Amino acid sequence: MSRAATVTRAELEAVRWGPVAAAALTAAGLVALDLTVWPRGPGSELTWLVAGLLGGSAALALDDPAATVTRAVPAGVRMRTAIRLGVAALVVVAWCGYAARVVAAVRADGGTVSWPALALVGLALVCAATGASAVLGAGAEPGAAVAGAAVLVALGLMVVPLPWSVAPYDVGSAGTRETVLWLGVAVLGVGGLVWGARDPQRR
Amino acid sequence: MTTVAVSPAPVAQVEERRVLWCLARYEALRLLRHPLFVVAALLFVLIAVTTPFSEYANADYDTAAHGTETNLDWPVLPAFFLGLGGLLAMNRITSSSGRAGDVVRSVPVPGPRRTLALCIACLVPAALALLGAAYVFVFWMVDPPVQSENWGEFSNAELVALMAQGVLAALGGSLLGVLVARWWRWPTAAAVTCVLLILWSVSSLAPDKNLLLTLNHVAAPFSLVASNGENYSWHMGGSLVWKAPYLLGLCGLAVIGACARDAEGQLRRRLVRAAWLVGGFTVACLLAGTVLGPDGFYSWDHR
Repeated sequence: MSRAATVTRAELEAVRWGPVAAAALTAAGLVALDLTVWPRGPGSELTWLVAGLLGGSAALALDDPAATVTRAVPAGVRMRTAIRLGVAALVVVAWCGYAARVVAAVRADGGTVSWPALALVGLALVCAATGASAVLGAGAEPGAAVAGAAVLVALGLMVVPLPWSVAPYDVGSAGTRETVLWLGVAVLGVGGLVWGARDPQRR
Repeated sequence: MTTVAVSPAPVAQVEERRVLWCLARYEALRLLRHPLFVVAALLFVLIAVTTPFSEYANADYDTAAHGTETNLDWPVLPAFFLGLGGLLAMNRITSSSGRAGDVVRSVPVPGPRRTLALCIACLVPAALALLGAAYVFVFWMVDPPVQSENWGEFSNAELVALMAQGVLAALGGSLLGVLVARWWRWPTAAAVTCVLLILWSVSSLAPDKNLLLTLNHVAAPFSLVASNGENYSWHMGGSLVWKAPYLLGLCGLAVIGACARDAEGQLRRRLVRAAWLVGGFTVACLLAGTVLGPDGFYSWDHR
């Protein structure tokens, strides 16, 4: 087995799959509800909770309870973070698929939803959650706190009136200022990831 | 002149009580320093202070006669910020004290007492919610919000019960955070609990056209009084006044459940008895709220 494969396998074995799966399965349950029996669905408030939970799931994948041991592994933090981000990539793919189903269902009902705008919301939340997790340090196991915060933020954006009449979940079209804001959140998240994945000695 | 002899509590009891309050103060300070709770509390205070002066509550605010806007949904703010924020923060605080097991166990205080101290700390978000509710309520009673849907349809007792719902949600959410951390030591537990709570609350907004739906509406830990669509407004059924003691009962059950985690022997038996008592009271309030309250009806319907 090549070195890269060995490192990847070892790193994936160090992921706390239980909590990651719990968040992802809860999100899957919400998706199933939203696409079937939920009266306001598809594309109801559950959609944004799914985004928050998927963000939390991706953040939990970065948790490294054995950080003191894994630091001695001959693979850099950046590489190990990149391997763990494979989970985040899967989460984003799942979100994009769900977004496509929501868009199709809403359009069939005569509504308008932009798939890129909807996909961007989930992507931004995943980027922000993983970025926050990376900045806080995987060894400190911030995944649980970040997952809770991601759900709270996803819900908060539905409940709290924002200044300048910003409607964060207005995904009717892609060319709005809300899209630009979500893009900004995604960029900030990626920035956090890049910073958090640096060698601790060089920070 | 009558002389009343007051026998002081035994020294051990006084000492135990002092330790409990000391621990509770310590846990309350930890909560007040928790970043998640600090942000949630600051946002709550900001929105609560500006609520009576918002454009929303202004008589000149241009809105449709039968709009979907209602000031009666104010309690959602303490429920969201202090309830869910408190749930996540208290869950983290309780979990972290659980992880420091060896150190904490060396402190000569039994587990249930430490849990009780955590539960007492949950009074912090409740107190904050109470202050916010009192502030907004006084404003609105003196100068009732003109644009409010349904505001005039409620008695003063119902309006007080409505505001109390926000306070009890802030208390109950935080207590649930402690309960979940005690029984379900899983990193995703708090987030999943939040989602389930939200699901339950949203499901309680379905127009309650039968008794089961009314039961769900009254039973939900937080629910609004009206279900508004674009073309209709459904005034939810069930009694608001009975809902307040029901929620208080749920809070009591959460405390008992959390303290029962490490309880043994006689204390455990006492907690089980208390759980039966409080559980019976809670179920009675729930049934009374469902059966004795008014039926749901359309405030207006333009479909």
